[in-house]
Amino acid sequence: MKTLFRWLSALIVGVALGAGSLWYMTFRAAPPSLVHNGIWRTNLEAGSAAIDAYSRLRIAVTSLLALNRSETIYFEASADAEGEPLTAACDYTLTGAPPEARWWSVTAYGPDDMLIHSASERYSASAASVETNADGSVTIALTPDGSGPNGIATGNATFALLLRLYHPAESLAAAPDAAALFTLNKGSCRA
Amino acid sequence: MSFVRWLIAVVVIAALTHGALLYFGPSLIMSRAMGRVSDAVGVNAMLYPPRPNAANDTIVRSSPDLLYNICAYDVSGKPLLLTAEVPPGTYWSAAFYDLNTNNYRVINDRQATTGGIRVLVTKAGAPSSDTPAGAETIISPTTRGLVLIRTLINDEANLAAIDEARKQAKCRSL
Repeated sequence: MKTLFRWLSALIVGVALGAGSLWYMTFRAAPPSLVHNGIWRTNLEAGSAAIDAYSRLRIAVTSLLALNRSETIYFEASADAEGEPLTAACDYTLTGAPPEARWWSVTAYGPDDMLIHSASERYSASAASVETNADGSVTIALTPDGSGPNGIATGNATFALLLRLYHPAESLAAAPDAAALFTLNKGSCRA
Repeated sequence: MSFVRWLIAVVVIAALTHGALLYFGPSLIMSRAMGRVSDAVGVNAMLYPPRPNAANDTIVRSSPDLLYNICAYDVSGKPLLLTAEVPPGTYWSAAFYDLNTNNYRVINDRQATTGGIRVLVTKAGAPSSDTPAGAETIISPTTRGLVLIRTLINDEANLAAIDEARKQAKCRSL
């Protein structure tokens, strides 16, 4: 009985350690193909057969059916410049020149990586939908109900942003870490 | 059972768990996604999901600015014939994924210069004589996979026309 209990405990601890270490390596460790640009980060090997195993698993969980780099570059952001998770308890704005791509969009996703429920159904802002400022720049409000200029609803929990760049400019594709992307400004927060 | 043996058992079980989930996880997730498509319309048939929103979203991080067509395929027995019209004036692409989640081929609207595509998806080693006239042959790295067609809603006023055009896409076994 004692031996059975020890084997059982070894099984439980082993599975927990194996799954926990995998979770850390997949979702917390930085893979070699990850590129940072301000709050944004992108995995240049998304959709590619050359991608490392941990990135493959991460993309399968969070962005299944991503296009490869030749077609689209995806930048994601889940934290502000200070590393604090993006949360609907705070308002934010994205500002900057429209990204150099044939078409672009910014979409907000909830903790489950699904579109966020809101009465306004303001899930995204895109090259086809935004109103630009007088100087040609774009301002996108990130608020719980999607109010504000070119607003996107962030719901009532933490959220992540996905910036899609379809057919990005060659210069952007060549140096995604130096590309001019939207900057995030943190506004007021609620208790 | 000594503590050293217990520790060795823990390390071995942890390594096996880690490796198995890492190796098989993506294909299991892909199989699940393909299962949802085939449950709805069967294998080697096209699904025309409605425009994604928070109420009908089933695929992680889908875009609400796109209309999707999805075909889960199995070419272990017969090849798959995919035909589609390319709506003019907007972004469109057909992306081919194998069971390991690799996006092994994309054909976009700038490449589909004839206004549509006609593609035969086969397994490696299939006879080329099966290819219908005018069709491009694409070899799938795995016998099971998925084709995802994206059509950008470039203007809400064009939604009905784009929706009608994307529903002309078909996939079937030959």
